[in-house]
Parts: sequence; C-alpha cells; structure tokens
Amino acid sequence: MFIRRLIAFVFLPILLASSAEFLLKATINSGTQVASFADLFRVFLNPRVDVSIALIVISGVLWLVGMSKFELSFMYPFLTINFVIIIFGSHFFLGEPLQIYKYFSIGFIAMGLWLISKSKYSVVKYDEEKGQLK
Amino acid sequence: MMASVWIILSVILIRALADISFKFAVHHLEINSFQDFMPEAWKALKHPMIWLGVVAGISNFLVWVLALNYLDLSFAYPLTAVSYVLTIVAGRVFFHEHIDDKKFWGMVLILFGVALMMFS
Repeated sequence: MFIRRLIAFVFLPILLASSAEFLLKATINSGTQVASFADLFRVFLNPRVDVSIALIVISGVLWLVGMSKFELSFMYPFLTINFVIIIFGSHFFLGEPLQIYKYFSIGFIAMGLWLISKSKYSVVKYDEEKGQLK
Repeated sequence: MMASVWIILSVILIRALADISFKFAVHHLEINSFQDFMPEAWKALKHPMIWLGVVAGISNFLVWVLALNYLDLSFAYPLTAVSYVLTIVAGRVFFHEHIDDKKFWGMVLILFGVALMMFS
C-alpha cells in the first residue's frame, strides 16, 4: 500500500519532528531559561523536553525506514513541508511574527531542496545484477 | 545579535559534522543481505567516527536548545538548511560525490533563501 507507507514513513515523521520543535520552543519560552552551562543540562530534567527528544528520535527512525522504502530523490522534496509547517506553526502556536520575507526565504530553500533532489546523483537505485545499491 | 550569529553557526556546523561522521563510519560497509547486517553494523560501531557522530548529534541538540533560547523558531529553523549545503560540499571533498548543475543551483537557492532570512 503506497499511501499507507507514505503516511507512516514520510508524513508521520515530518509531523512528529515539527511537533517536537513546537513543544521544545514552547517549553523554553515558558520559563526554562538557559543562562548557564548547568542550565543547558538541566533542561533534560524537564519531562516536556524529554518528550520532544523522544519525538525527534522516533521521527528519525521512521524517516530512515522510509529511506529504505522510497528513493532519496522522492523523499527529499517532502523535507520542504517541514519549513512550511514550522513558520506557520510558529505563528499560530507560539505567536511569532510571520513577515512576508519568511515566505520568500522558505520558498527559495524549498526550491533549492527540490532542485537538488532532481539531480541524477540524488537517485539511489538497487542494482539487480550486482545485488547492491548502485 | 553577534551571539546569535555564533550560536546558529555552531548549530549548522555541528549538524553537518554529525552527518559527515556517520558517513565516514558506514561508507566502507557492504550490506548486501540480511546476514551481512549484524557483522557490518558491528564494524561501524568499532569505527571511531561513529562516536564523533554521536557526540556531535548530542551537542547539536544542546546548541539547538541554546539557539531557541535566544531566537524565534521561525527564524532559526530555516537557517539550519545551510547544513544541507555543507553536507553536499563535504560529500564532494571527502567521498568524491558528484555536484552537477542542479545540485549547484539548488545550493545557491538555499543560501539565497537563508541570506534573505538573515538580513531582512
């Protein structure tokens, strides 16, 4: 099932990773200020930070599984969804300003990633004859 | 302002360092079947670069927390795209990977988008 694999190993990890970023930023905003080196390690004691780390790890594992199921050049353009979710989510969930230059900035980054994914060197194919990745 | 530039620069460098270290640890492996997986994964674990990758990965999270402490998420997150560019350049330098026109102009577009965010 193509659609199910796409949801499980492409969309789900993207959603988990961006949720983790929002949770992390919201936690830091709500008073977990980092003023010293010790504070930096103390943030790990915050359960909300631990949840966001867990989300990032699960997302990374799912994405890696996705890499084995889809071609790299197919996966990469989906990375651009991350940038879109992050700038809109930061506005709606965290109240960050959404200036027009942010649209253009992620627009250029997205086009760049898309173009890189179209390079013939971004395609990894399974070589049937040699029985290994080309 | 200067402090935030240094923090974001370290995020980008450390993120790329983690990916490049992992690549060093696994690029000699030959996993062609399921039987190969365990012995080859063991080889990777004994490779010193994988541990540099782990350290860089953890440091990346710490520096990222520091970055979010000072910067908006919608500002800092797009800037991390520079690490894609560094990784491609490192692929060329260390692993003789190819950079064709599409990759080159893709990198230029990413850098342009990031510059737009930085200097707006």
